[in-house]
Amino acid sequence: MAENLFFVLLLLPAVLVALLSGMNAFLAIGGVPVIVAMIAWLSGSFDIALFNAIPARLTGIMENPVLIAVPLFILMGSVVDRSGLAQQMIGAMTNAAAGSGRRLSLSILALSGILAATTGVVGATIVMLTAIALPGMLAAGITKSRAAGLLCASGTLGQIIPPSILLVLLSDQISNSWLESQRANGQFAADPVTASDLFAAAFLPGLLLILLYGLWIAFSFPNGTKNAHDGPKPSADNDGRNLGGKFLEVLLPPILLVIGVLGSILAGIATPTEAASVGAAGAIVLAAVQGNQSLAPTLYQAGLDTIRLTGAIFAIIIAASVLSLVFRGLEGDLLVYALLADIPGGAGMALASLMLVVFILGFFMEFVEIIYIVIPVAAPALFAAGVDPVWFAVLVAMNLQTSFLTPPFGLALFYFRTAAAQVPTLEIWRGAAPYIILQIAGLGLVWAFPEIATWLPGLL
Amino acid sequence: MKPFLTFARWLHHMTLGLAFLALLLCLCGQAIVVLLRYGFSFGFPWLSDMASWSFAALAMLAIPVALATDGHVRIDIFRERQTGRLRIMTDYWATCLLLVPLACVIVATTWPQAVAAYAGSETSLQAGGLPGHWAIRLLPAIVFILAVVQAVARFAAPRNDE
Repeated sequence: MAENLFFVLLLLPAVLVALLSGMNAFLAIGGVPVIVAMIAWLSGSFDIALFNAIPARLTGIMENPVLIAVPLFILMGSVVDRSGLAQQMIGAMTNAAAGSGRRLSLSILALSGILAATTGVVGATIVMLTAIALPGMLAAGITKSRAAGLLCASGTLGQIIPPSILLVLLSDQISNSWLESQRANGQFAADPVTASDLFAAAFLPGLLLILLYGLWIAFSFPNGTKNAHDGPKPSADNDGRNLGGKFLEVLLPPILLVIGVLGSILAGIATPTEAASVGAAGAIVLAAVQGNQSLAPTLYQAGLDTIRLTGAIFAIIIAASVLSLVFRGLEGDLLVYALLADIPGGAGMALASLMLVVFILGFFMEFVEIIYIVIPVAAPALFAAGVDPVWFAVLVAMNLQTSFLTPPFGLALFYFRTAAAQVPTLEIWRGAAPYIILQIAGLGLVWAFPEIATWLPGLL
Repeated sequence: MKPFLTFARWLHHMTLGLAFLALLLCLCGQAIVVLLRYGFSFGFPWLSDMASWSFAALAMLAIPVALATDGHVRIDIFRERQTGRLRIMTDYWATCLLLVPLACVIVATTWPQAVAAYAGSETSLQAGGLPGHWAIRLLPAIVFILAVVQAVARFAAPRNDE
């Protein structure tokens, strides 16, 4: 046991150092454990036969029906993005609300909520929102830091508002951990936790965050029009009645698509995978009818985006399953159980500490890595102590979403910086600060009132 | 070196083409399954298998594609300040010390099971499903060999994309 402990304590810092070297993250996560396991095997602390479990784990990933939703949702978002649909939506919104800073900000927030449900890819959403909406916001007299904060925070909403890839991946890990903890308690017929459950559970917390953001804008943003001459001039085809018609024509179809996809999942009619295929097919039809780019290059680019992102995600999933195999082989899971059990204050404190760990990891790791490394290790112990899996999943999802906003390494801040070179880093951080506080407030509300997360799934 | 790079390039295009095909089959297969199920309340087991297996192929083939196009996730806190030479060294050592052993473990463990599945003519678990399930079990081994080829080609090729 003492030697096992040595290798467990070697494993995690070694993975961390390899990650920070800037190599492909999946090599750090999957390769380092293989090397550590080999050394441990030579010294008699690791049973190499455990590697024979790898093929079954790979088949489990490849044949998981829920994970099929991942590339399909990526494709849906990519098509909306690459076809110019998202651009048109933002353009229509900005034109309609031009002038008043507060109204413009609120409409950008509302639009982000809709975009969040279609694309769900943080980088693309923020870069696009920034490129199209920032000039109008600045012209309407909103300060750079306020605009930066709102655009960054709005861009992260796709992580919590279903259907989101974060929630699909989280449900995969949560349901495994949940069934495992129930089996350990002798419950062999426990209800599984599905992706649909998590979608339903994250819906109200997502709206809660939009509400909190909206209240912040309503109370703190100036309403004046600075100087109308600087504002984007309405173009010739956008005058009067025409504007209203174009507004609906551009915004209505994507909204209907979102309602169809999300509604069919939340109503329990379709599984996330089924809805994702309809969503992707629907997005392609919309792109063909309404997009302002020619269809073939759009589909090629969207397909290429989808393949590259799918490769990146599944490489990490595979690597993390190797890591968790080695971690268990070295009995690291027993160590985590012991640590969590030793925290004074019971399950509540253990959960709070875990949330803190996820929050800190979120400063420098991507959500896929955190989900696949932390959840299988820590969640079974918490579930065994009576923590509700759906509530837990929503808390983790909100926490991970916040990590996109936290300086210095929050990804949303980086994406914003690439799209708006004229805004200094410090201004971006200052702008993001209120939203980090709002996120923590939202997290606190869901912590204090678990019904916000558990009421809707219970109802459906 | 040149013939190897040409070969790696050719392999990349093959892999990308197959990944596109898998994406297409996965999307169409899944969409048709939904259409049949909700429109006509029936379905074909082989069609569900096609969607599910082409997803498996997509998820796997995408890994070497992402490697060849530098699409994998990196933590670039320090990397963004590194020189091009240091970055190439990092990728070189990561490939030799980590990717090759990982690929060896995956090939060594999945290969015998894929061969056993082939010998036993393993088919889909559902009645009326597709034959040739061994091909899915063989995928990880093939894909990790492809990944090694693409990783080596990355730091062997003159880089003009960074």
